[in-house]
Amino acid sequence: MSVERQPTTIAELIVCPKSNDAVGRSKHDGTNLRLDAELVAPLAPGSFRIFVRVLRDLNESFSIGLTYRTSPAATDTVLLRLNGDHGTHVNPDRSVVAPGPHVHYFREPLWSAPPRPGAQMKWATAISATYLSAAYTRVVTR
Amino acid sequence: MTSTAPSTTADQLRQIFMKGLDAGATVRVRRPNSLFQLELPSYMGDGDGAQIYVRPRAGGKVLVTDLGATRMRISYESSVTPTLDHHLAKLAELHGFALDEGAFTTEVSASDLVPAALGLLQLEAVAERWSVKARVRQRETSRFRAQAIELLSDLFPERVEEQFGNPETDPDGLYTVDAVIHGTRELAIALVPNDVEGERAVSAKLMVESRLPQNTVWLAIPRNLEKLRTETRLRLIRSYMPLGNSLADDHEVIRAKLRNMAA
Repeated sequence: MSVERQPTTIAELIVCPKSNDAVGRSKHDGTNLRLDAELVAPLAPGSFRIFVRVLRDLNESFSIGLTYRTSPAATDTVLLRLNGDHGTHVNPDRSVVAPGPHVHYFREPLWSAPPRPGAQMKWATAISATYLSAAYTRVVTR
Repeated sequence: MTSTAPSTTADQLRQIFMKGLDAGATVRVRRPNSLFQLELPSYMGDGDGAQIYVRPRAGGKVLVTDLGATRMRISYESSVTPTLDHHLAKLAELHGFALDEGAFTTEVSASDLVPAALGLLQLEAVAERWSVKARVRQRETSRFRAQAIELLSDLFPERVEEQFGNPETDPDGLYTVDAVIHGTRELAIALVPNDVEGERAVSAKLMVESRLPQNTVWLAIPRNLEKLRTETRLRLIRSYMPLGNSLADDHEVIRAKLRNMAA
């Protein structure tokens, strides 16, 4: 899917072209390994950030996410998040994702709407993501 | 109308409850002999399960911990700051835990595993709720600041210097006045969204006043003056002249006063 016009919906913001000029530096912070990197997206009016978090004592429990901030005065909204194995996940419809890697994403109608802070607390759902996550596991835990 | 007495007895309820708990609670080995995950049918707002880990200790004790997962979750959308850790440590203490290198921990006898696990579950939920509220406050504060700076920049183009500090005495810029309007008479303006910023503004004046002329006018634009703590409000009023009670309600009055004072 190619987006040439200014992206506004969550779906468009996720796929719009992005790059990062400087690779973020990882930082050990107590029990966490953290990495944050700003992304440049010329088409989008706001700013993107990718984050990586890894639990030091359980490195298969990690989180990689893409956030979006509509303006400097706004707060971040997580558009998409990949988690490693931190246990069971339950979706808003009560379906259960077994322990293992999974992706948090928005469902319709929010998927096709602009992001709003806090929405993911109510609307995020998850699917199992074994293959994708296995690749990330190799990168993150290397 | 006839009514029938409830047929479920305490014993039956207990059986249902224990059966449900037995079916929903599992223990996973995460590292043989050294780290176990206790899974309960309890989930956070985004559906992720509560994070309860157990490490066996000598003398029949166990360490119950979240391994830092709660703080990690908060860090997705919020900065990890000393203030965040201070609040998490306070919440932990209220629930009988400590914040150790970012992880909630408590050491208990193995026989106290259940209350400790339930305590951690409660602590994680409270911390998550607190972080959501903190983000809302942060958003409101950012919006207030942006509106105030926009007003100043609109009124005094090219004359606004933001974050006016004293690099000699405060090289880290911790105590700065939010804006100084340069002109024949300087206006030093503190933006006050909350109590913490109100106290900071009072200290900032002491830090920077030597860098400004004596006839500088010290002004405050509060988000809501009446909502500040009495002590903070009084300290603020002794150092700054508030331009109104609230930027949102008194926007035009504040604009007019600023224009007159800078004339």
